[in-house]
Amino acid sequence: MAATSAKDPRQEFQALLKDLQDAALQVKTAAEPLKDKIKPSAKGLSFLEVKNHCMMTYLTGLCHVTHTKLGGQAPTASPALDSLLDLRVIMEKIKPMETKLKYRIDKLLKATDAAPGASDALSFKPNVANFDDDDDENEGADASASDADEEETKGGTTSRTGVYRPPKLAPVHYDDGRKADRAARRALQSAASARLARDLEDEFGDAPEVRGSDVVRSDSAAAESIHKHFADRQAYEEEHMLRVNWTRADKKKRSQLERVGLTNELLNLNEDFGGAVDDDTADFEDVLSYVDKRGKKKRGRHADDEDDVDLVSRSAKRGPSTDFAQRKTAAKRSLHRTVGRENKRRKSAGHQ
Amino acid sequence: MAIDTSSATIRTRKFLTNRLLQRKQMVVDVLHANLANLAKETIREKLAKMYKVNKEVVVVFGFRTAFGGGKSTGFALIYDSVDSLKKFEPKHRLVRLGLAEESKSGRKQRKERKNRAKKVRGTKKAAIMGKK
Repeated sequence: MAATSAKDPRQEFQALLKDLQDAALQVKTAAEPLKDKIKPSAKGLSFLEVKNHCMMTYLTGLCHVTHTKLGGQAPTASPALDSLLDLRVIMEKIKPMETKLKYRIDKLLKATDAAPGASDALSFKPNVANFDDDDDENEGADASASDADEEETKGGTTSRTGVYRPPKLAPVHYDDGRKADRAARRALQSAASARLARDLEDEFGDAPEVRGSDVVRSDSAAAESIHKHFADRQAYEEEHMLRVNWTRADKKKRSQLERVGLTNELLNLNEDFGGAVDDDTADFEDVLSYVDKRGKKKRGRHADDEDDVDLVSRSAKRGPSTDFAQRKTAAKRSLHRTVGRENKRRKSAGHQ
Repeated sequence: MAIDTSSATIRTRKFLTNRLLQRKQMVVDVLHANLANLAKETIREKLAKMYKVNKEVVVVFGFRTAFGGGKSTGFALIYDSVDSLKKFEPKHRLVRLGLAEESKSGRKQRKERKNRAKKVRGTKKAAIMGKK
């Protein structure tokens, strides 16, 4: 058995050597005719030529390294190693370029097979059906709305790789409609107190006419409000038999009354007509209903009942009736509250 | 340059008999066209004549001339007697009428005295307050 085992490797080695020789001969006979063909020509893609040249040089280098190895030396001693490394790098760069050119090369090969003629030029037109695939490959992680590989969430998109891209929206001012409501309400009030509405109310309203030497009916609403303020104040003073001090605001109002303003009626036309001059579509119905409601409120909820007889005066029944009186009582109440609070605090602090 | 008081008119409004304070209270309008404001004494006299009472029980205060002039408005109280006047009128008006004297001690002293009296209960207060 030892003899056979000892023989086998030798016989194996001999067989292998023979194979090697035969293979080398075969390669030589095959490579001879190719030598003429492989000449650098102006036609064709130089890219492919470079590739082939690189590969061939690489193979020869590889043979040299193997030869060195067989000779017993380390393969790193071979001088072909540097060129081998260079060629390796080049080939690694060539590979992706080739995949990119693959389509073009295939097209060219098909063109050579097909019959020459005018149709050739047309066959080079782009294939629209291939467009979608190309988009996906090129854009990848961009936030474009392509439904093949990307799902669109509300505003944001999730790319193929699963990264969420938020939508690029500029911040916009939020309007909750309260400002518009307030403006509308104020416009209604000013329209209701406009000259037109007041004149209509005087003529067709149910309330009795106001006449008196101390009642001033002026053209400007501001002057009227100031007169009303002072009238309220006087009523309060006479009711409570006392005098209220003049504040800075009161003095200012007094000076405003003395100021004589020359107003051009044509300039205030819009205010007098309750905003109807500027806004043609304004509905006067709202103004009229508002005026009506206000009138009813002034006269009291039971104003329509004629059997009701007020035996007790209004102010006695319902507390302060004018704005001034209301403000005064409120101020007094708050003052009492703060004083009471202070005293309580002082007492508790004192006892401690 | 005597002021012609006879051309001025006095009217009263909002008349109310206040039994609790033993007086009658009203709002007084004085019409004095082209004249200056009437003096309080003159108004007292006129009111006493109108209501047929003694001038001593009439108190007037708070006169303000209306905007534009010619008319002033104030308040008047007519007491049942001088005793009720002395009992119910506030100090400063009694001083104006000459029926009381204002205290010579300053405001600060008065307050301090009051605070000292707060610490004491009952008749002992009179001892502290009486010092003035």
